[in-house]
Parts: sequence; C-alpha cells; structure tokens
Amino acid sequence: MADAASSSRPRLSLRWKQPSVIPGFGITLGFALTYLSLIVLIPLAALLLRPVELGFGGFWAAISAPRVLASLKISFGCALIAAIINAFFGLMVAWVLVRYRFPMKRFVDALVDFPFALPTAVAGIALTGLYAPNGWLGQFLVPLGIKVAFTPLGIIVALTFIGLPFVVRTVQPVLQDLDPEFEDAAASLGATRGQAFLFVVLPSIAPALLTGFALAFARGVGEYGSVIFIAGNMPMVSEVAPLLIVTKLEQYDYAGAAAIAVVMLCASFLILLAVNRLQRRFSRHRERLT
Amino acid sequence: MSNSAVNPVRRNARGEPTWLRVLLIATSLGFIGFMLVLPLVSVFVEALAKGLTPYFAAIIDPDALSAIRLTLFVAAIAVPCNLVFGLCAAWAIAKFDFYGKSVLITLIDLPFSVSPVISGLIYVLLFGAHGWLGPTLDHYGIKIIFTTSGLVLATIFVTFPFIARELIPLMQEQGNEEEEAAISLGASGFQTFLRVTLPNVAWGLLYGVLLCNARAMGEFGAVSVVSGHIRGLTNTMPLHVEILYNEYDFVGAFAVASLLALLALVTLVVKSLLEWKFGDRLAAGIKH
Amino acid sequence: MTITLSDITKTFGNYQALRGIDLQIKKGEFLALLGPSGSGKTTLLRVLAGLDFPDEGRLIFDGSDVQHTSARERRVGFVFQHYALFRHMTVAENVAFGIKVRPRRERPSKAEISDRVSELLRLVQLEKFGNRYPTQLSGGQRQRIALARALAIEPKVLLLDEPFGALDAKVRKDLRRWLRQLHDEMGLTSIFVTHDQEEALELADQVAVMSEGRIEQIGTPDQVYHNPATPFVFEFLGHANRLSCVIEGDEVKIGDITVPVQNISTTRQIAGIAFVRPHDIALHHLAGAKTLPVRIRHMFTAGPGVRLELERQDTNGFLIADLSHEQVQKGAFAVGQAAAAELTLVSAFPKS
Repeated sequence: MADAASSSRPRLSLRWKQPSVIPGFGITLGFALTYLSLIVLIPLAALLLRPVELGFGGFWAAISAPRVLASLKISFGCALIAAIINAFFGLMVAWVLVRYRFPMKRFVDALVDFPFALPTAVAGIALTGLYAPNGWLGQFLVPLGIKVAFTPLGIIVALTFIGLPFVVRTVQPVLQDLDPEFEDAAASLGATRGQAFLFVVLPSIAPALLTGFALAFARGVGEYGSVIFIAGNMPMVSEVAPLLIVTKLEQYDYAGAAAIAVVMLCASFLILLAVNRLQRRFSRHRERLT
Repeated sequence: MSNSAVNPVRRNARGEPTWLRVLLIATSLGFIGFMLVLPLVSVFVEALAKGLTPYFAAIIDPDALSAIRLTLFVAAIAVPCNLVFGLCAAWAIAKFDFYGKSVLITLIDLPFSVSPVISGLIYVLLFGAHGWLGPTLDHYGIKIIFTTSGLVLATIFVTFPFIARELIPLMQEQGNEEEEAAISLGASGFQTFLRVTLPNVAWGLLYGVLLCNARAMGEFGAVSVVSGHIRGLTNTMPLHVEILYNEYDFVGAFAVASLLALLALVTLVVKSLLEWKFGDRLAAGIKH
Repeated sequence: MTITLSDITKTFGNYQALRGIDLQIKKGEFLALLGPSGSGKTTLLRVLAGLDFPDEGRLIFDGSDVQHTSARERRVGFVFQHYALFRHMTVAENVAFGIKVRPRRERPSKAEISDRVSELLRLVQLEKFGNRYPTQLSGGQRQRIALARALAIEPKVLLLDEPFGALDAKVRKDLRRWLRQLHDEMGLTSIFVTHDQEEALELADQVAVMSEGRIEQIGTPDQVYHNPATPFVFEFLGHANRLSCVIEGDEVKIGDITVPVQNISTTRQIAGIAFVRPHDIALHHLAGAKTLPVRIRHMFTAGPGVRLELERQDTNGFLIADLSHEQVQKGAFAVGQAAAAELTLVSAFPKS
C-alpha cells in the first residue's frame, strides 16, 4: 500500500502527511480516530453542551449555589494541601531512593507505586478503618482531639495517599540524571550542603517537582473512591465536588451535575496550563546558563 | 512510572552528614510505612479479624462471586479493545509524520486528567434516561446505563491510555529501520507488523496490559456512576465492597477488598520484575 | 540489470535533497555514490529502493518504469547503514526472512530454505553463527549478515548505504576487499553510498560524485581523480592546493610563472583558480623559469612519504607538497630553507 509518485508533474511540497513506504497509515489512524470519537469526543461533547440548556443565568445559578461552591472549595482546598504535603515528602522519598543506600530499598521503591495500583474503594475503606474513632490510629488520635475520619482532615489524608506516587515518580528520574558536577562545583566554591541543595539541586528539579505537584493536585481534585468513605460527606463541610455530582445525578439533575463537571474540567485545564507556563520559564532560565 | 532499580549511589565525600542521612531515611521510611504499609496491612487484618471461615464465606457468597465474575468480564472486554486501540494509535503516531499528531497524543492523555466521576458522567449524559441518545436507544430496547455495557464503556474510557502511552514512546524510539528492511525484503505490511514490530514491543505491550488490567478491575468512581448498583447483577468488586461496607458488614467488605489488594500486589510484583529485567525494552527505560 | 534515472527531484519540506538527477548504470556495474553528508546520496539510494518517493523524474529498471512498483516488489537488496537486523531473530532467521515472507506458492520448503541459508552464511564466512543473535555479533559480522540477508532474496540490484561507515579502520579495509571480490564473483549490479573517497576509488567501476543534490561528475576512479570536472570534485577527492590564476589559452599564469594546464582551454583571459595535488609539486633548490619561490615552514612524516608546508614568497599562501623520503634526503631539504616549487600537473577552473 505504498504511496505511488506521479511521473513528472511537479508536486506541492506542503503535505498533510509525508508519503511513506510503511503501510497501514489509513487503517490505523482511522481506527484510532473512530475509537477516540466514540469513546471520548462524543461523550465529552455531551458533557460540554449539557449546561447550555440552563442558559447563562441558570448555569451561573447552578454553580454559585452555596453547596456547590462549598464542595468545590473542599475539593480544591484539600487537594492543594495534600499536594503540598506530597511535594515535600515525595521529594524526600525520591531523594532518599536515589542518593542513599539502605536495606530493602528496592522493596520500598516498588512500594511507592502501590497507591497507583490499588483500587480506590479499597484505599477508602482501609483508611477509614484506620482513622475511625475505634480504628488502629483513631483510637489514639481522637482522645488527643485530632479527628481525622469524617472530617476534611480525612479527605486530606486520603488525597495524600493517592497523590504520593506522582511526585516521587516525576522527580526520581530527574534526580537520577542530575550531573554530580554541579554540586561538586558548589562545594569546591565553599557552599554548604544546604546551600548547594537550595541553589543548585532544587532549581534543577523544580520543573519536575512542579509537574509532580500538578499531577497530584489534579488527581486529588477529581478523587472519589478513596475519599467518600473517610470524608463523612456532610454538605458544606466535608462533601467533595465529585460526590455532589453523583448526588445530583441521582436526583436526575443532569444539567446541574454537568455544570459542576464543566467547572472542574476548566479549573484543571487552567492549572495544567499555568504549570506548563511555569515549567517553560524554568527551562528557559536553565538554557540561558548552559 | 519508572523504578530506579539498581542505580549507583554516588559516593560523594562532600555529601550530607550521616545524622542527616539517617534522619531523612527514617522520616521517609516512616512516611511510607505510615501512609502506605499500614493501610495495606489493615486490609488483610480486618478481613481475617473474625477468622478464616467468615473470610472464605464472604468470598464465596453468591453476590460476591457474581461481582468477581462481572469484574473479570468487564476487564476481559475492555483490555483487548484498548489493546487494539493502543497498537493502532502507536503505529500511526510512531511510524508516520503528519499534522495533528500532538493533538492526537493530547487526546490520548485526556482520561488521566479527568475525574473518574466525570468519566462516568459523560456516558450518563449520552445514554442515560435524559441523555442525548438514551431515549432513542431505549425505544429500540438498548439500555446502556445501569447495565453491563455501561460498565464496559466507562472502564474503556478510563483505561485506554495505558497501553497506548506505553507503546508510543517505545515504538518511536525503535524507529522505522527494521520495518523498512522487512518491506525491502518483500514482506507485506501485516507480515512486517507481526514478525518484526510486535516481537520488538512485546514486553512493553505486556507491561501496558498489566497496568490497564489493574485499573480496569479496580475502577470505582466511573463505574459507580453508570452502574445500577444492583447486587448480583451490575456490581463489580469495588462496588460490592462499597455496598458491604455501607451495610456495616466489615469482614465481608474487607474480604473482597483483600482480593483487590492482592491483585494490586501481584500487579506491583510483576511490574517491578518487568522493569528490572526488561527495563531497556520498556518506555520507562527511555531517557528523554 | 540496467538502471536509468532521469531528472529525479526530491524535496523534503523546504529542503531540496535531489535536483534533477540523471544517471545510467550498466548491468553488473559497481557504482559508488560519493559525496559529503547532505549531498543527497542516501536519498538517491532510497529512491532506487522504493523507500522514498521522488517528486519528479523517471526511474527505469531494465526498460520498465518501476515508479509504481512498491519497495516490496522491486527485488532490490538493501543493506542499511546500521544494518537494521531484526534484533529478536537469530542470524539464520534474519537471513531466511526474505524467503519466508514470500507468498505460499513461491515459498520453498523448509529444507530448501535451510540449505539456502547455510549456503549464504558460508558465502559470508559465518557458517557457525546461525543460532546467534545480532547483539552477540561484532559490527563487521553484522554487516556481513545484513548482506547475506539482502542476497537471500536473489535481488536484481544490490544497494548499500555507507556499508562500512560504523566499522574500525582495519575491519573496513578487510571488508572492502571482500565485498569487491564478492561482487566480481556474483556479477550483481551494485550501488553503494560512501563519503570516503579512498573507498570509492578503490572499489568502484564508476564513481558519481555528488554535492547538494546534484551529480558533479560521473566517471571511472581514474577519470574523476585525474580529470576532475569541477573544483568540488577536485577538492573532495584528495587534498588540493588552490592558487589564484589567470587562464589564457592552454596555459595559466600563477604569480610570475606560466604553466600549461590540462583540462581547460579558453580564447580570452579569465580569472580562475588553479588546483595542484601535493604529489604534483617537485621541489628544487634553485629557482627556474617555471618555479614559484617558497620557504619550507614545516615538515613531517606522513606514512610512506614526507609532507611539507611551503610558504609562498611571491604572495600570501601556503602550498602542501608530498615528497618521498628519498627525495627529501637526496635534496637535503630542511625547515627554514628557501626553495623553488615546480607545479608538474595543474588543473584550472574559471572563478565563478
């Protein structure tokens, strides 16, 4: 199925696709596009167009209802805090895995992917079991006044669990490829380890750290399964936006549910865009130095 | 998601003081132990809290068994479909140059940035009782939402990127030369794909299938939205766990959950093995 | 098989890789496409194989237009620069590939395939390597397997893309000789691409020197070396001393001397550049009517001879001269001496 060339007519040099001796372009691209349209594009269109039936006024009313705003605040707020926690500890874990040697390191390294592989519902009930007042950890924490289960704090714990692999796995390869020369240079110029870390290492891994943070954040905002068990789900207090969507669906308020979903999608999109911009600025800085 | 596997630890004489190292290692291990190991262990402990008999009883309970069957069934359809898609998309993207390639790649990454609930929502909006196509299909007796078909669809959406994302960088890195050689030697497109390309991406394919399967069996949010939550009929294992838990049947819930946790562990082990032995033949092994 | 290319043009986006190539290749000929990177030689080879498609032009194999014949059906044996051996197949499976993918009607029996593979492995002197994998072979061995694999399909023409580019100097020399022998035995029309002029001159029956998508000159190695048609060809095929000159009639005036020139004749005076090969300079102590005044600035042993850097005393510039050890000793030449350089063979081209 190779593309045949014409004998002597001059051809436009601007082509949509370069002719290739390798066959199968039409069929594979066709299938992929059809699949994507059926599975992704058409259903997404249904989502994006649904709030239209509310009209602008209706749409605005739907998403500015106090309960909706509260749920969005809780989802985004808890996801942000969890992502920050993960950024800190994730960096530490990545550092330790890349730079140090200790027993069972490979086991720990493999374990980092665990939240990624575990079904969210299982994570949900396990965490709830731990932090409930009579749970393994809850029994100690509640008497101290720290209520984790059925409060926003529980949501944060669940989202920290979920987001941990994202930061570690994005930072790890970058740390690994980091040229030791730069830190050695800093040391030879008199910098302490702390200074070397702050001024040499951190800027180099900042884009990766930011990416990991953004991924953990994005994942946390949309998280459902691991959150609904531990959250308590009280409207205005510990109800996350995905749960509110489900509730509205059960009430057949399709438009309302779609409206919230659209807001969430837009917000995630904007976050990813902003992170992309920041990343590009970071790498531009580095390019100027090299 | 790459493993660091065996990486040479830099013996940096100007490294951190020992006490700091120990502190960092201890804190990290503590964090991992606290956040990851503890919940994992608790699943099994709670499942076996009342002994082995209630544990097995919970698993062979008819509703649990049908949930297991349904989970396997959904995965058995979703994974092969996504496999074909992954191969097609990777072939088109890796072997050819065309405008719009990056848009295609972005589209493939889409499910990763979408909440599972929204992944299910979009099908309800399409096929549900008040959806675009719902009433029309209902007229012909085709029901999608609240049936197995809806479960399959939602699962396909959530898991289709896995295989494609594994194959695309792998095939891009392997280049076109072997395929061109095969064609110059007289092989047809299909022969080239079967005899040359497929064996070269075999391990990456297995890896992608593994991840795709783990996610397909464990998906909760998307499936919850499109399922009718009818016990014994439209409940996958994760949904069944939810039902049991909400009925305060903790042993039952954790028993089924323990099976899913075992699946996760097996996935992790096989994944690590693949990364360790065939790291250079997986997308994760490609340095960017 | 005879091959005719007429007016082959190929553009990649804004980049013109081939500009109207005309080429005729005789049956059994061993042709070298010689040129620097970016000259279009690999693109031309791929066009011949059907791996790339020209925008314009005609391609004729044995009298029939093959443009609409796919690479699959053209029966060309292509040896890739990096071998492109199938990494997960054994050596024997690699070699047998082309035979095994034939349609069932044309496919020989398993035993016949096995025999043919053994025969080919013997031809490339790797009989015992049938069960090894490509990663277990050295570069030179992989090259020979790639060749065996290409020969297995009984091609009508053999195309080799920089076959020895990735190999050590010694391996390269051995394989060169071996390839030429193989060609002589088999009589297969062969075209190979190289940037190494020594290789092209040593192996080929005809050399096509290419630059920027055009063929500068086609001829026997002797012709392109001794009668280069353009400055590019002259300079590409060995070191060339460039001297400004004025061309008039059959002679050129360089500095104060006038010497005969062998490749050009003009009716009026034109400014030009004269080219002299290092070994076409004879060195004397005393100036003569046809010598340029020079001073010896540097001398070093270069293999079988001595290379001298001579600074021109009549104008700015250096000349590189190659003398034998004997000549240097007999003439007692030393660094710092004044001397006289005689140009024994000069080619000239108009300044463009």
